[in-house]
Amino acid sequence: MKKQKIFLIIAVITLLSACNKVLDLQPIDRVPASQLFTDIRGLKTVLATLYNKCPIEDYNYVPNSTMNMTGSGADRGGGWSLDAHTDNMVIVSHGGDAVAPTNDGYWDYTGIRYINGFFDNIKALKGNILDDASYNRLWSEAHWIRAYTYYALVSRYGGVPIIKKSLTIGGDNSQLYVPRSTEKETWDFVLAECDSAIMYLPQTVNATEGSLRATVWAAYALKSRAALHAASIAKYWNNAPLTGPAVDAKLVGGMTMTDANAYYQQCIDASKAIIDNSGKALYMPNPANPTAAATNLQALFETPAVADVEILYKKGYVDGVSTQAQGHQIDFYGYPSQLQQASAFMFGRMGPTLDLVNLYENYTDNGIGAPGVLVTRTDGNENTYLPTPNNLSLTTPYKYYNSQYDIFAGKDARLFAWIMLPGSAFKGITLNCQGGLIKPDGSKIMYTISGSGVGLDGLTYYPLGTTNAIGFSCFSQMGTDLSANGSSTGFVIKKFLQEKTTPTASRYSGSTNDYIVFRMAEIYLNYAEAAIESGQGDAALAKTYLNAIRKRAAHTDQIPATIANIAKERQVELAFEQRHYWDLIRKREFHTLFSSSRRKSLVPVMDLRVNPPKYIFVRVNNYYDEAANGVTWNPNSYYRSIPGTASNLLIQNPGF
Amino acid sequence: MKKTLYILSLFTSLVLFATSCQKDNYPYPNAQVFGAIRDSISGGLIETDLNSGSQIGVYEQGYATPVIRNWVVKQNGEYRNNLVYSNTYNFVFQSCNFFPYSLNGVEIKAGENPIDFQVIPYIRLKNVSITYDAAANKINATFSIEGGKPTVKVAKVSLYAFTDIYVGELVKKTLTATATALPTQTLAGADQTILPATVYSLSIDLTQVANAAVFAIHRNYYFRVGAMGIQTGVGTIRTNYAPYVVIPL
Repeated sequence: MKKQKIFLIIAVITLLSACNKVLDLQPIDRVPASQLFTDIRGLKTVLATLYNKCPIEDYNYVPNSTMNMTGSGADRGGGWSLDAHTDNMVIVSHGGDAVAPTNDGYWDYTGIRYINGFFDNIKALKGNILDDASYNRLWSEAHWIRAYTYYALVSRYGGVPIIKKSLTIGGDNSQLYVPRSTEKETWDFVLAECDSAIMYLPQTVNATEGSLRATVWAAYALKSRAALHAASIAKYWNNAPLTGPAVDAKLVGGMTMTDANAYYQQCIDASKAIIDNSGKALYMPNPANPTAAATNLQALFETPAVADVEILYKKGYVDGVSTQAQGHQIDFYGYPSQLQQASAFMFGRMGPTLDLVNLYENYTDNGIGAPGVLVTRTDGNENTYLPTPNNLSLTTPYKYYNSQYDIFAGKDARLFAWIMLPGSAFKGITLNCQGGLIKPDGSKIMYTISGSGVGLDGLTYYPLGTTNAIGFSCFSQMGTDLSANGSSTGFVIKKFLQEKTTPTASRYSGSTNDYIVFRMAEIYLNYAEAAIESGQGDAALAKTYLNAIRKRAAHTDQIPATIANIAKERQVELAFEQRHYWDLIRKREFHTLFSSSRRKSLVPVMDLRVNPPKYIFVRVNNYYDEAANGVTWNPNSYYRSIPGTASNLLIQNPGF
Repeated sequence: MKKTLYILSLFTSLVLFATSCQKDNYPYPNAQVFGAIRDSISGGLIETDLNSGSQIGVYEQGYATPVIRNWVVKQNGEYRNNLVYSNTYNFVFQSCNFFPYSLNGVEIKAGENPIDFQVIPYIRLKNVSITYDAAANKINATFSIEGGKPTVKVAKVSLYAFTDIYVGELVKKTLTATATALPTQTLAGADQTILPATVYSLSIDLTQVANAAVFAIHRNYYFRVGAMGIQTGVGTIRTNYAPYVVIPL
């Protein structure tokens, strides 16, 4: 009996002491804040995470999917670059990169919570492991990242909930339901955050403390970009007005011309601060000739390290082959399909459009900056675009060319620097974009590798110029989806690509060249646009800046700084740098540009009716846009739908 | 033994099959709503685009946070929804091709509910004629327009062509203008003022090489004329149309 009692007591004691306070246990797979923030290195680790969460639309941004799509298995899902959502580029994809708003689901209140927590943590460490200067810099850095985060939100959704401190659960949880601020308040918040960033960010950064951390110029640059965006919406809202509860509450729109001019002034001031005080300037502003200009401009993006003088902020990468979930794939995705590697698909599908190529000037330099027309016909009619090259009329007076390349002679150096043209050389290949064949009897074979024709010279010719399956870079197997490697426009992207070197042989993460986030050319153009749009600032300076960019591309004349000229210069200078999409958004031009519209392609066709055979160039509607009966932008797409309105009780945007 | 096992398992699965699935406790949509969007003056149907055209915004009442449902309108202005719960509804029309309109507290009863919405279009297209001139090989359209209210102006008039009935601003072939044949006229300045006496003449020159390519196949083609209004304070404005015309080419 006694024994039994002892057993019982032991059992009860064991039972009572068995359970630890399980909810108080520290997880052993992560570092607690108390430990992380005892050391400046821990702090920097957190800072690096914040930088990584910064919504920079870089090489790893996939507009149809997400920010920061990295990793060894990170298939693009068929898309990179917001420019493919505009008239600048068509991507042949199986994921869909039609003209449509971003579908990235960006709503990073997790990131905002990280940032707000970071503010709390550095405040606690001030005077402890952080001296005043270090604290101030980190404080400004976090404000810069928060400005960038809210800039990405307001440009997608209009006004959003502004949360400046960590929210805690418990007590009155109604404080968790932060309503949307107005669009104007949100833009003002972004600009105020930029001002906070400007306060303590350093003018230069060095390698020991992190060469890719934000400088004060990065903060001014963000302010310049954001203020111009806000100003344009205020000015151009009525080009695509919306209605509904969100408009009534000014959660979208609701800004006046007075607001527009105030924002334009902020853009002017921020841009001028950079231009006057940063010591930054255009890279290689005085080229000897167009060829030298093209070399310089290619180098600016191929090896941004040489062009530090122009760069205000850039994002860097480490090789994803040696470090998991790093690196990017612009080269392997961008290289023309003539350079494709075994078993790789998704090659060379980024095709700059003829719409964009048309815009580049030639060097007549007549003082008006008119686009340099590609001469495809002898009768001067360059406004006819056929549905397909099969529709070409044998009696149309096309101009004959000996090569695919000659038609581009005398065009703007930037065209040669940033767009791979048919017949141009790249990494040992000559880009072949032939899209069809006209046989001596006038019958046509277009857009296929099958078939051939015997020329009047007795030789055999092929529709894509070759029977070699990797001997061409355009117009191959279009409409057949996955196997359709190559461009659908007759051009291949060249900006950003590595020509001198070849990245590590990994499809998804082998490229490490830096992504330029802000550069001086944009700041010049921001200043020019803000000054001319608002009548504020210095119009003469606007003209100087506009023409400095053209001079860097070897133009010798001075064109007037009109709204149209500045817009055209933005499109050709900042092509593929994700700016054009946001330009069309902020100036409300998408819906008029795209209303069952077709982007354009240029198809080099070999004509066997002449001896020796020569090339003609056929202006056609892009295959994919034609097949889709055109692409359309719905006016309510200027804002994205607010996620989770049923639970967060936010007012939804118009049309959703 | 084996046989018993088979029978037993079959029996078990039959029992489970018969008892596992029960109908949920929600009633089936028991009402049908149909009708048309009509011009309150002329009584005519207000034509639209099927995709991205007029929509009926519907709020079912009785929920703490009513969520909008959008019902599609057929391109001729009629609509039908056969899967509606009988309840009280608010109807809202925004970003259509007529002045914003709402109808609140509409009682939808079980069974059929015919409801026509009487609205004011931005623009009415009148005296429309779309014909094929075989001698000149042209499609010619003439029409005049009238503003729904005196404040309405006109931004653009167009002759659209496509291979099916959904022809319009958002479903169309790309047509090329020639010196003597304009398929679309964008208006500026004083020309934006709507005058009942103005007759708009639009045409498609089928001898132009790109246009000839569009109409290369002999078949029925569908043509529709449309006009885009200008009016402040109403949000997105969509195109007003006349009914389509079929022309075999």
